[in-house]
Amino acid sequence: MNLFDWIKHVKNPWKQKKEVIHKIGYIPQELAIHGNLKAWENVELFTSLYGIKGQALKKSVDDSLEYVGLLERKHEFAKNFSGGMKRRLNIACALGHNPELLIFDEPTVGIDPQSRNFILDKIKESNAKGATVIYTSHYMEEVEAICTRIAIMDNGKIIACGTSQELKKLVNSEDENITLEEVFLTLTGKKLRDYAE
Amino acid sequence: MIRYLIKNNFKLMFRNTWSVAVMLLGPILVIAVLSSAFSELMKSYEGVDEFTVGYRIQEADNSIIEATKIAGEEAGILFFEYPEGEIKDVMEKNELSGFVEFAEDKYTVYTSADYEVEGITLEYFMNKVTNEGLNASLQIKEQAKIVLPVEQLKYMPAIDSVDYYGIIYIVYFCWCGMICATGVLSNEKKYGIIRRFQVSNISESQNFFGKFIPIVLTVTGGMAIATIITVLLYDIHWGNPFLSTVIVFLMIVAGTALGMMLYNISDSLVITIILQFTIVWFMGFFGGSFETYMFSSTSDLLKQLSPIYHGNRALVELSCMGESSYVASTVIYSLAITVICSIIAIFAGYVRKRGKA
Repeated sequence: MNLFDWIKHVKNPWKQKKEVIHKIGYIPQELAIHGNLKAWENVELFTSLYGIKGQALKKSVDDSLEYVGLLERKHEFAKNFSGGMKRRLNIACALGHNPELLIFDEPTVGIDPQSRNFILDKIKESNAKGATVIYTSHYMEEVEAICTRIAIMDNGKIIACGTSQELKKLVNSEDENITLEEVFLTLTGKKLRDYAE
Repeated sequence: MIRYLIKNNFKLMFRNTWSVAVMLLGPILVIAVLSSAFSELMKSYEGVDEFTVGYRIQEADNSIIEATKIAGEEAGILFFEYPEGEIKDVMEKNELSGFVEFAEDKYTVYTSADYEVEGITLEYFMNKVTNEGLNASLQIKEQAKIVLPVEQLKYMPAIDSVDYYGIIYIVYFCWCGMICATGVLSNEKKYGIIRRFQVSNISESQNFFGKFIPIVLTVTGGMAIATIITVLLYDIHWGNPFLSTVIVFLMIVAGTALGMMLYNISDSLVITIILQFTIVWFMGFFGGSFETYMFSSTSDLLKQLSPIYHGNRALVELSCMGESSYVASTVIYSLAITVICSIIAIFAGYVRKRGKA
């Protein structure tokens, strides 16, 4: 970066912030969708927040809905969807602007095995297409199945980080069949966590 | 991007059938109840013919009394002098609707419970004559005589209860527009949609107008339908259609800005609704929403402070007189509330977003 590029970046931090935000797709744990909007209207609303409009927006909406398998149901109200369909719609709402970084916050909570399997496959697919995925979950088998690097957090701090194999080695277990859940419990302890929201 | 936010928030508000029903049925039902409840009082006031009033001069300028008598004749109030006797006895004996005792620098109005409407009319008349007389007396040196603009007295609003409450309750509900936003705002909080906004490129002013504009449009649509229905059902007479529409619209905008400001400050829909309804209730109490402002004995200062009073008075006078000097103050008041509340709302939203981020 030469001096001119550096000044250009420093002079317009707002533009920089917008560029960064545009690269992030956030899928919250809550079903952040409007029940009184149709599936396509929900995706249109949240995709438009990133400045996409017109024909590009229409295409993004259809692509996102197709990606999560809801294109056929695009004209139905979200409130009539099952839990799994709402989860998939929740994901579609964050994909419309083609983000490079996807942040999933427990996307498989309270859904049927088929929907869960579908979502995990789609996450792997996104990653294979080049997107970086940050996946938060309490289900260790899911984490082990889809993550290349795993960070274990306790009390808001990362206490261990590495591949699944590296984490297993950390606990010095002689058992070769130790699960990630056992690693997690060994590292964080078995005391109940009673956190307030 | 704000276009899609406005469009979808607008859809959400119109699909919230409960709030739309409240905004439509609320005015229709309240107008029916209140116009019926107060119809007798306002009919008797409207239908009153000429009535006679006694007067007595203690120490007063005769020219003022003569001017008062002339003005009284124009307004249908006939003055007869009764220099002697106990006032109460004189009123009963001569079946007088009221009595005025003129002193050097004051006058006293006596009214009777049997002639309540005439008594209120006499009080209003004397107040008007005194104000006009005072204005005229300031010009005495130049004109050498008191000129009472008697035609002003015709400006006494004679309106029946249906027209009065038909107009006043459209105004009242204009200030309660946040009801329309309850569905959107509660959903945003309940399902963490605000969090999605926080990680998107939307600015606080875009977020504000993304809600403000659809609320204004929804309330305007709802009030337009409610007005048409009440006009058809109750035959309500609005005055100048253009000015009336402008006033109602500006009050919807001001009411929405007030609600959005309360919401962005409190961050609670329940607190917002309670606060807004309390504020609107007080503004309505002093503004003639419950007791007609013509007959209400509340403080003039508090009346003048209430934006609803200005709006009510402008619309009622437009309806029964075709013009009103309160139009300008209503417009200024509404615009000032809109601008101030919008700025505070955007600022409060910005501070809250940064605090939560």
